[in-house]
Amino acid sequence: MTRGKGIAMYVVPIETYERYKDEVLRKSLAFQEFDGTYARRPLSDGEIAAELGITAEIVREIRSIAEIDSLPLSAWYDADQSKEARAGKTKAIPSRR
Amino acid sequence: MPSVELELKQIALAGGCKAVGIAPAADFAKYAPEGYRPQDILAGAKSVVVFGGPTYWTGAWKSQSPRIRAMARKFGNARKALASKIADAIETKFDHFALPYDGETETNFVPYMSLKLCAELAGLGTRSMAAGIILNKDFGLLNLGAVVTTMPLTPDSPLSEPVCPDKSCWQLWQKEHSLPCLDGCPTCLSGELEDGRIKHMEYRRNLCHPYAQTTSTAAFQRILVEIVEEPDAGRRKALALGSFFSRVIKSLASGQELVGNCGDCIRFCPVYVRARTPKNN
Repeated sequence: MTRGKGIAMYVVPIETYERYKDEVLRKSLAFQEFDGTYARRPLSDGEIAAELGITAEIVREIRSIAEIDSLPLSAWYDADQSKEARAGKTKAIPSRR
Repeated sequence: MPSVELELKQIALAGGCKAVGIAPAADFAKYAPEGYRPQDILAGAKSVVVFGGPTYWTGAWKSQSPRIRAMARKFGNARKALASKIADAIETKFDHFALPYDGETETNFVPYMSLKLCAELAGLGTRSMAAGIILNKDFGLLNLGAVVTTMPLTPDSPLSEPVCPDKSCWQLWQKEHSLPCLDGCPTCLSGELEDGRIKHMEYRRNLCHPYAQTTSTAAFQRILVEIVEEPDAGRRKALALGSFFSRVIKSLASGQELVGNCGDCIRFCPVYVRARTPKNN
């Protein structure tokens, strides 16, 4: 990633993105686990960068793209339709216990 | 004469929140990485006043439309005004630095500081199987806000006993290995209970976005890429002018339907159902 050259500083090469996107996403806040101890908390961009041997700026760009790019556009349409369908067919809200 | 802590909490409760507590800024270092702690928001931060109110009007959950429910947010606007009131009291009456923090994000979906962690450390609730949402035993799902300050305040403690799982959920798990939250959203959630407690919970937040923020910024960006890459002029026009993209743009322009679009993981949570159901129903 080139710094100090206008928008180029924000453009990560597609090869770099494809190589690291799954690992970056998996280590980031996109995946949150909890076992009562916080032993496996998500990592910051800087921490991921240190593990992968790339810069935090590259990790940030990869993560930013991957958070949206990991799903096709149809996922948004499907989510919208499934929520509508579930709302219409939902079971009654349980009464006060 | 009330203590400073009590006075700040009274301001918060009078402003419409249901729960309020104080988290010690120093404790964040045990759980949050460097760069995402109160001291990174406000240099010299000593305390975080954390408060929560009802996310939706109770009637929102009786609506047959998830879009109407998403728009029926109760505490969102009051939350920002309340944070300003608390911060103003700290600055003007007690003469310390204060900074309201409303969960703003640094890049994409990563916040400068976790409001969930703030709420836990301030004793407002504990993590739940439902996406790690902080569950309050009396009010269920809370809409959270915070004020970071350099003022040293006597902190509250995290709760010693977890709110989740509810006793009824543990019974259900033993019988069916099923939970209302996991059933509500198998896409985003997985996990298991053991000995009446959460053994493991996994929340896949990127899969949650299309549900929770159906018409938000990520949707806009995703459709934009599709439009730009679409070689067929007719289909390109349909994508750009169609109802979904129009709704996304309206959402971004008006702030309507931006967040809280789903809630299926928390919808049948017994703790939250008890909290939100009016006594006369």
